[in-house]
Amino acid sequence: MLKFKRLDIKNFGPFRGEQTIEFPNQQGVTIVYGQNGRGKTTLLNAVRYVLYGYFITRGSKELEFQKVINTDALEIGEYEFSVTLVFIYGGNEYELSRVAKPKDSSKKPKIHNDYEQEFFLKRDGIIIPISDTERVLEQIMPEQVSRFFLFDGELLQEYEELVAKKSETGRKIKESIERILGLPLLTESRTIMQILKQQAQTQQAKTAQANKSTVEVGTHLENKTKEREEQQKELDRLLQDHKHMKKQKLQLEIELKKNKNALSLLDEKDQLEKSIDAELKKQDIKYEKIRESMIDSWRWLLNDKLELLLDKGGKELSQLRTKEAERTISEDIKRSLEEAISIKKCPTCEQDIENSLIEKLQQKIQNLNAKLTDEEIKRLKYLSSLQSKVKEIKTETKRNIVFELINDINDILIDVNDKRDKIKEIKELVEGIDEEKTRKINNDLKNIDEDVILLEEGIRNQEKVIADVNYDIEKLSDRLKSLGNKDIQKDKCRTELYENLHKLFDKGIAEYRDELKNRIQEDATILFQSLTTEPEYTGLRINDNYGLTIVRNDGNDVLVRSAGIEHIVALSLMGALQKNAPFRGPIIMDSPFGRLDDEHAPNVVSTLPIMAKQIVLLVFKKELTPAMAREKLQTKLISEYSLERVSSSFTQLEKK
Amino acid sequence: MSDINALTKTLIKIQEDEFPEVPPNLITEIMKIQDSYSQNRSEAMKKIGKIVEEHLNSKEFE
Repeated sequence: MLKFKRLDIKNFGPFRGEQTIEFPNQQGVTIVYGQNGRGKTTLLNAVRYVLYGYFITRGSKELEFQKVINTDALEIGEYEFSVTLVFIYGGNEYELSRVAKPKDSSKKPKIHNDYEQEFFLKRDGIIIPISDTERVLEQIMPEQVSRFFLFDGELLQEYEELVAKKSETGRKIKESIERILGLPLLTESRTIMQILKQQAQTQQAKTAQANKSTVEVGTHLENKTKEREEQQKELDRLLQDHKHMKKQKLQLEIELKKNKNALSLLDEKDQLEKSIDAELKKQDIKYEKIRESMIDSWRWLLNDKLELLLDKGGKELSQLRTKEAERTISEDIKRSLEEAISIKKCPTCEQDIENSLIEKLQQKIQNLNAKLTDEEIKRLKYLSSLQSKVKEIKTETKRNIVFELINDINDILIDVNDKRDKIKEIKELVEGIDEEKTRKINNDLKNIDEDVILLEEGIRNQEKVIADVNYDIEKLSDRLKSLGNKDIQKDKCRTELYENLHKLFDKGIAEYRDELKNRIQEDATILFQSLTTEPEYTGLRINDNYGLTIVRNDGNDVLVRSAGIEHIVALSLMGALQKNAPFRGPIIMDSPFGRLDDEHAPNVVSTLPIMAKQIVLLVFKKELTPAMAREKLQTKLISEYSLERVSSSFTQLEKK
Repeated sequence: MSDINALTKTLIKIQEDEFPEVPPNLITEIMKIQDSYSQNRSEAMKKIGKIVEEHLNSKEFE
């Protein structure tokens, strides 16, 4: 088991001068409290730096020393920074130091290349030769599993990648999980059995060639083994390309993750811009319709007045026309009466008319002589002409249609303005992010995905070619067995033994993997149940990537998880891995409670001591108050430090 | 950094069920070698080759 004893840092980040954290010998939790910017993540990076020689910022590896050295120290001519970690492993005390100093001590270092690094590892006070240092460290705490011991709470989100398919980050984490669980020992054994089997077959061919009765088959076998070697070289080349491509893909994923939020905002911005274009086109169509409708619009303005005119003139015209009609009728009557008087007979019944009646009729004729005055005739003509002209001018109004179109346009304008405001907000949010670069990364990732698919198809084809050659080799090997002497029998037996061992390890990998998954699922579920506050969540289900899905009490999966719940699931996985891993060591957690609410955080604090024997928490007080830490951890809280601000570039570590 | 006992137990179970012709002690020895030389493949191969040869030499061939 690995146990930290002391960490010394000098001029590293905000830690000016030499500062030390002592880790007590007993089991439990050490807490370092510090507000944002005081150096919590720097402390985590100090441990990472001394162990592996790099820092991690925003999820990616960095190695730029000029960014690490304390700026105050640099100003006063102290150009060197260092970290020393003292730890116990296997009963021995180790002291590991990394010192970065300028290549030219008289010159102020400005860039990474201005520095050189020294690296020492002592075991029980004796320096281990530099050639062995990396190997010893690799045995004590391999870098590939460091993510389970040195972790940034903000990066716990990465573990959701295990649930996602086709993610390179997920594949990388899976690899680390299997490594911490000890699976590489089996996979390496399987590879060795494969190599030894092939060597045995080559040996078999050589032995057969030395014997007259088997020389022909032996030569054939040798040719086939050589062919396999060539094909294997091609496969290795493809696998190398694949590995390189996967590495590139991982880098792109990490880069993209940094700007993941920005990318989705940029996509949203693109959608909004497209939507605005579509809305503006609709607006143009509506304006065109309004223009068409407005061609006779001047007439609509006259309609009311014309209506009034028609109404008023119409009445007078009607009176004049009635009068005119009456006059026409009177003329007819007058003519009939005058005829009757002249012949003194009724034109209808032809009876004689008496003189007394003629006088009356003459009187009547006199009365019928009433005519339209000239003025009235003129007026009648004027009004008739006016009416026909007004009817000509008056037209059907399209006012309602235009109003509807105007309303539509107003709606569009409101919508477009809302969208423009949203775009403005997005632009403010993504300010400083290289939009073009982010999009390029996204495109590169898509392209590399396609290339990986093609390459994997090529690898499968090449594997098939090798499998065909292997089939021929097996057949030739079998033939030799029936033909051969004692030496050939022995060669064949060797080949078969390696073949069986290869199959056995292959099966062992599958079975051990299943066994591990079951154990991880079981232990993670127990932890999850003690951490979650949601009674409907009954457990976790593991997938082939060791990704954990929450299962509800109705048996259904929880498909959408909040950042906080994601955090709880990741911590459950961490705890289960710690329990099942052969490797035991300290866990350093940076801001592990940032995403947790005030119900989950105390649960996690209480559970920490069962996750590992030595835990160092780097927290800010709002995330975990000293009172809560003491209440929940009690005797398991073994030491407390705080990061006190001296200035913006100077933090002092103080033991509480 | 492996639980060598758990790994070996899994392999021996498979050997008993499916590969009775493979000597179980050979598996145990291979696992020990692998555990000791996990950082050095060529050395591990040499050691494994040696114990396999010892096993073959102990057998009779006609």
